[in-house]
Amino acid sequence: MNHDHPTLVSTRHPVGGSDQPNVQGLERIASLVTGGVLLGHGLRSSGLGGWLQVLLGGLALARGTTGRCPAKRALTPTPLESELAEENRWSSAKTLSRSITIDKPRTELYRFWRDFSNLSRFMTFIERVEVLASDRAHWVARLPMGKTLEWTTRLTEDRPDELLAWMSEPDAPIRNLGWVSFRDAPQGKGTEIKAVIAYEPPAGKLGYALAQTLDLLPTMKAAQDLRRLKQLMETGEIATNSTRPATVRRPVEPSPTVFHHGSTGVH
Amino acid sequence: MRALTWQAPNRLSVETLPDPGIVNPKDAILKVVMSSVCGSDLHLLDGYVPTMHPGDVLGHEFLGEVVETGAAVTGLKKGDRAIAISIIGCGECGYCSEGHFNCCDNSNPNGQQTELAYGYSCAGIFGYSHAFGGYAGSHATYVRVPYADVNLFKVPDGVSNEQAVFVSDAAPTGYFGADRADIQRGDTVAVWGCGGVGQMAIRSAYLLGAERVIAIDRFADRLRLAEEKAGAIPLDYTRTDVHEALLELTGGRGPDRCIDCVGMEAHGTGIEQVYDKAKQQLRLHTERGAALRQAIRACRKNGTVSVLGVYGGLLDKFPMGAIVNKALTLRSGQQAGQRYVPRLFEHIQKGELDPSYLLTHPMDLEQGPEGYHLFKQKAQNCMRAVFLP
Repeated sequence: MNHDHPTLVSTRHPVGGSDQPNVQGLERIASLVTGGVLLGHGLRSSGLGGWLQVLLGGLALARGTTGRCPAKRALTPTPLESELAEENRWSSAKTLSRSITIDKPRTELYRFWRDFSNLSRFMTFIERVEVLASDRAHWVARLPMGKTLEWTTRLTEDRPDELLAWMSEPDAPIRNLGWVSFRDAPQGKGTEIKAVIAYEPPAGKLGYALAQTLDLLPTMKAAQDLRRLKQLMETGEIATNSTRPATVRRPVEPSPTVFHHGSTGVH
Repeated sequence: MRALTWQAPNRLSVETLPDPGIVNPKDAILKVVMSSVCGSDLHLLDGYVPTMHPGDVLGHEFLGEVVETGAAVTGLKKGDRAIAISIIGCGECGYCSEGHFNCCDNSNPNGQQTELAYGYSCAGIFGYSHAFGGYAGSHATYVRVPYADVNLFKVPDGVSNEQAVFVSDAAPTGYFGADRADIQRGDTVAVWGCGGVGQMAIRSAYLLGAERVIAIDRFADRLRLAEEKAGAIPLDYTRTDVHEALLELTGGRGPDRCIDCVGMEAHGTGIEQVYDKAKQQLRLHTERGAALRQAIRACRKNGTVSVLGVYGGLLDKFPMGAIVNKALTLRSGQQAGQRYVPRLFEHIQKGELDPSYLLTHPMDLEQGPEGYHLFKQKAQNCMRAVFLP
């Protein structure tokens, strides 16, 4: 993986791909036939059901006639996701990425991230990360109803003050990888951090479609986590609206600069 | 402690809540001495700002006594008399470092909501909905102030509580708006809205070099105060055609700078008012923009329109054509009061500014719901009800 000039995570379609026909062959014929049948049946039926069939039939016919389907396009992996899936021989890859500028030197931020046990201090979804060796870490993620998800990663690239990349070991329940790059912001205004996470959604294409549909929530979470990192690095504390000191929530021993893992508006 | 809480649109109640404590090392706890209502609270009351939860404590303009400080607080000690700036700054991020505390990157623990609505996360505000941080407000016995060294200011000798409490929000907001309007010596400035912020904007415009300030409102008492206390030329828009009056008063040139101190619940006249109100109540738009539209139309070519009134979402029928074709500059923002406090205290000490006349109704905290009722109805010429917990 070329981490220096990767395809933008936010590029949704390949060059010229945003208006190219994306329904072909059998699928297109099936769309035409289904559309025709639904439309015909709908026109002969009465009530809401009939109208619904007319609507769906019309959409399917349009899909078949034009060979274009916006819904399918929206659920198609991005160019970067296709690259990652191919490189790692995953059935598909779902990416998540955010960037943030933090008013601290590159070295300080790189060092903080290089100690993977620090990640749970700002990633709300991560219960803890145990450092097993200088290039191996064990992650424990929080799931609903007190369950956890665990996996081990090894460092795949380490360029001090520039880049860290990691990859899950083959026995991970959900295969995943990630990298974070550190770059000087213009005019000495700190460091631009770009973090990318990719994982292989369970259940293949269906899993990808589901992950893509629910994309907003994890993206917002990722942004919120990076803001917490920024708060911690810039002000030494994580912003919170709580009015009482937190009761200890974490089994891990508190780190000297973590004062509070504040509540957020999403409960 | 006792606190005035929001329960539902237009339903407030005083409740007993646990006392706040130090949570983060840069926190301070203030025992509230005075806490004022603010026009922007009315948008919360009326339910136009989403993400209010039942039980949220209101209030963001306050003065009190420091009773506890966190381990990292250096500039304040127990017993200090201080005011807080309503818009919370962290003091460390790029924006705060450049004095733009109102754009703080770090003070909002719920940044995702404003990020979704406005593209970026916005600063936290005391008692102003969960989208703006969900911080408990100051209409209470005690309030927790984060980043105390940045947001709390000791009140100097010679400045009374009644004057100082408004340096928390109304005075710096008015001053910020006048400053943003880029007033040049000799300018004519028109100010829409003569509530607390409008009164302060008028006075600030003079302090920044305006030659004449014209004040627009419909309440006789507020117009009288704008004239007597702040020195403005009053215009009652229910009796006078504002646009023509502004031309008449400025030799046909129009005001150089226009300041909107009204916001999203503006009252217009005639068909515009009916249309705006109907659409707002159907939730087809969130803002009624009569005052802002009038300001944009009235502003002279190449002039500046400075928007202080609170807007939350989408405004319909926005006169972009007037902005482009008259080469207007549009500026806006929540106040960055941290930048102005020393200057404002100095003006007060020299007798050039006296916000204390805004305090028309000192009240017990237990009378909170009543205080807001008076303020909302503008009954008994209520400019500001201030609670004394």
